[in-house]
Amino acid sequence: MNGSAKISRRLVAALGGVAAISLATSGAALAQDVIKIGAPLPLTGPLSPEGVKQQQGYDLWAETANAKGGIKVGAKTYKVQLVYADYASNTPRAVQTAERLITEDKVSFLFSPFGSGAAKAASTVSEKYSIPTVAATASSEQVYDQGYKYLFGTFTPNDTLTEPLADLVTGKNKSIKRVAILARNDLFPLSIGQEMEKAAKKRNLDVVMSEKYAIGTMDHASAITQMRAAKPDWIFATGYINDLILIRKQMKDLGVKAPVVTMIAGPAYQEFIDASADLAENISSASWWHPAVRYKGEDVFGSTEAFNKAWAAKYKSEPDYAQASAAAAGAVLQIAIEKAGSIEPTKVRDALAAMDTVTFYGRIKFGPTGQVTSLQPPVFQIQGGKPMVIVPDEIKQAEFKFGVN
Amino acid sequence: MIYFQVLANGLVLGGLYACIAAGFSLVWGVLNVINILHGTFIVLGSYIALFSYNFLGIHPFISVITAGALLYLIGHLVQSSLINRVIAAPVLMTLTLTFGLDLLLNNLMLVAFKADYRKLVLDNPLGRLELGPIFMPLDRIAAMGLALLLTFLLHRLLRDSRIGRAIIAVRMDREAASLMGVNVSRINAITFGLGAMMAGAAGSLLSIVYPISPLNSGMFLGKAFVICVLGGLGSVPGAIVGGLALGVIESFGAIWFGPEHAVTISFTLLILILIFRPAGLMGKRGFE
Amino acid sequence: MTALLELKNVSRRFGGLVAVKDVSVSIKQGEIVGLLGPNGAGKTTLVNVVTGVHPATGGSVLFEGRDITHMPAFRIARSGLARTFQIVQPFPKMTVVENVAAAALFAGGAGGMQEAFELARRQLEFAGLADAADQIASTLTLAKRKRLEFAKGLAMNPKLLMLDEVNAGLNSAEVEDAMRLIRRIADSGVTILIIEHIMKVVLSVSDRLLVLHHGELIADGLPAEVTNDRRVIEAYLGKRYAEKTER
Repeated sequence: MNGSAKISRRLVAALGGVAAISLATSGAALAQDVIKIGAPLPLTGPLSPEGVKQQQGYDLWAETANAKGGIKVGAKTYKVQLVYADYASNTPRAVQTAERLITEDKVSFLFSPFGSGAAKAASTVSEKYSIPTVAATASSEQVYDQGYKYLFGTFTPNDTLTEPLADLVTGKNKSIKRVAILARNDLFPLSIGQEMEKAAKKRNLDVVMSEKYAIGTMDHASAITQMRAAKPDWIFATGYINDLILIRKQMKDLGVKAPVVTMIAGPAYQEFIDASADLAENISSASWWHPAVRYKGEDVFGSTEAFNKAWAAKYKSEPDYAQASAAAAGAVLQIAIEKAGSIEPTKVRDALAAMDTVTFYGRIKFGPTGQVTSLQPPVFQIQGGKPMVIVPDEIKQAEFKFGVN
Repeated sequence: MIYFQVLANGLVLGGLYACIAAGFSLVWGVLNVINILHGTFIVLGSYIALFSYNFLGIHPFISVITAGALLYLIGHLVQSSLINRVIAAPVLMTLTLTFGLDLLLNNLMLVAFKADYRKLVLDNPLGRLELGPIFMPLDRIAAMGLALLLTFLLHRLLRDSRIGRAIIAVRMDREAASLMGVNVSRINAITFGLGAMMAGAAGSLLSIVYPISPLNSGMFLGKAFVICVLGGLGSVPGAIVGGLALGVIESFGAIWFGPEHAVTISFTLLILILIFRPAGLMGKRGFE
Repeated sequence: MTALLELKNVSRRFGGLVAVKDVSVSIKQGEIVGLLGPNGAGKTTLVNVVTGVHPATGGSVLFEGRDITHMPAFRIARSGLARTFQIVQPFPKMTVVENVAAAALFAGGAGGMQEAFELARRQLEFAGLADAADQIASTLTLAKRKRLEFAKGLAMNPKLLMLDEVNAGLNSAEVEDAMRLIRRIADSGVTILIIEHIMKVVLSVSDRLLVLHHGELIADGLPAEVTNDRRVIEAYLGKRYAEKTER
């Protein structure tokens, strides 16, 4: 009896001490207003190259915004605080991570996880809690087809990539007739493969092969052998950067050549060009942004050139579309909060829905599903080891070349 | 006509598979240890080849020797210091131990090397061999050739050397071997070391074929499992037959059922063989 | 002359069961010693303790003056202590000559594979199995498998050979053959400990008899003495018979 009484007295004293300290420090915390934004990302795992790019984009935006004082909400300014969580490239975990960020870390806004698949899965959670969410790397229309009000995306639908491509190729060369498609069995790569098939059929081209490969495939020899037998004029391969590097190499190993080889999404990245060396030559691709575009905007960066410069200063490289999209997601969220004059979710959400403005990233106007519809995705081709913009004409850097060996 | 190319693809892949499985099969058959570390050992071999090439200019085929030697030492040490303590325990015990050790090693590698996929890009790529309509990349053929050579050497070692005979004796009857003068603990460590050595060597060969990342370890382990069941446990010729069979089956399976089902097919096969012919293609024989 | 093998108060318990209790024995070089006792007396356990399969839980075992009580089995085998098995189980998938060569290689001091096979063939000649050399071991008849055990044991170049129930399952003609082989082995200089539970068989061959009963040594001496020992008769045939014969 005596012993336990002593212990409980000590416990009360300790608890009292902790309470006092926390009261004192919370007072200090209250002095700094902060907007917490959750960002679940695949920082490890097979998709980590893509996850890291997104992180870089968010970081640059947060730094730039905070350096200028933070986000202005009415008379107050708030600092941006990004809360990252790694879901190791595992989609179910992405959903759990998003929920934890909302319920435990108490973030006010969310940036979607990487890719259409994970973004769609996690959007259910953010919609449930009415958290305005911006998806920086989700392009497939299926992501936005659930009628959600709180989800917005900075990539235009997949057909905005395939249509200009198809126009370009068939416009320049009438002898392109046979199309072979090899798609990764994952939401975005499959979706854009299907869009390509639609675009080809629309123009009366022969789809001589349309195959899928499993996620995690390490050997594409059979599929590529099939491809060779089909004698295509245009090869369209989809996947993420690691898949495409391997597919391109095995195409060379098995002697597959074609007038046009298009790969989405990977050739825009320097890593693809470095790993593929000579094999990257004349590979075409399309993306949602390219550093060659020139826009002047009301966002925190001010213009594309300023953004490129800020990127080079911090990361010593040229930004690619995924990095720019992530930074744009932050910049767009900032504009919405400032226009709404509030951090209240419904008000911010409404400001996003009503937005029609130009940023360093391009004109931002979200369609009824929440996906942006106002961008002009460039088509480009790797020439001399560099990606050169072919379409649109306003920023064209080179002519399209046929023949991939 | 296309089927010749598909067959060629399958055989070339199969040679690599044989090398992946040989060490795993040896350890399982002789020590009754399912070495979950095997996949991670292979990846470690790949990294050794990668860094040797990028920093020292050593060709991956030469790294086969250095990676093999280094992995032998690691394997021997791990077995004699840790696994040997539970070697007499049921197989589930040793499985749990190797599983735990694998978690440790794999995550250490993730921290050290990151998950990003690296590619060993040879300055002078070997090009390809064209036999009429059949194209075979020379780097894969060379890797396959070396893989088969290594596996063959392991087979000879087991048959013709004192240590090899001791390993076979231990596999057949551990207690009898001990009473005949075989230091079973030492043989256990040597066998495990040999298994790790084969993994390291396989990793070096695979470094020019596949992207390299700690995330691949599970895939290699899965393949090794299927090949062992296909070819029969503890048998090095079984690993060769199993590996070639799996390569060809996956190759044709992908053409007939679509590439997205290649992995499904191999595991379906695993289940079927376990039901109908659990001793594998090589049957019960094969103590070599 | 120091004993070749000496057991001092050796005991072995398995949990609550005492299989071998306080056994002290001394075996000299060149002897043929018979170890007798009914089934379950602890004979095989005793052999297991000596060869290092189970360490003694009490007492000590000395071989050539060296304490081998806690030595690992393989080292004991290499020191010159060989044994055959009650349930014969050669390496089943190896040929007869490969089985014997293995023994020569691991314990018999053969320098390499070639030497091992030469030694093996010689032992097979000695044991009368030369014509079965290339047969797969699991296909041999029981009698031939027992001879294989002999050959394997000899190939280990032992100083002391322990033969555990070599006659189990053999007919009388085969038993005679086995006994003749044992005498030839003894003549070649190997000390032998032969374990049996049938008295008659072993009497003809042994210089000395030991009798084990419920783990204890109840007799140790010349065959004629031991067979008339009252306790031995009791152990084998029961108390009443012993009383009867005594009268």
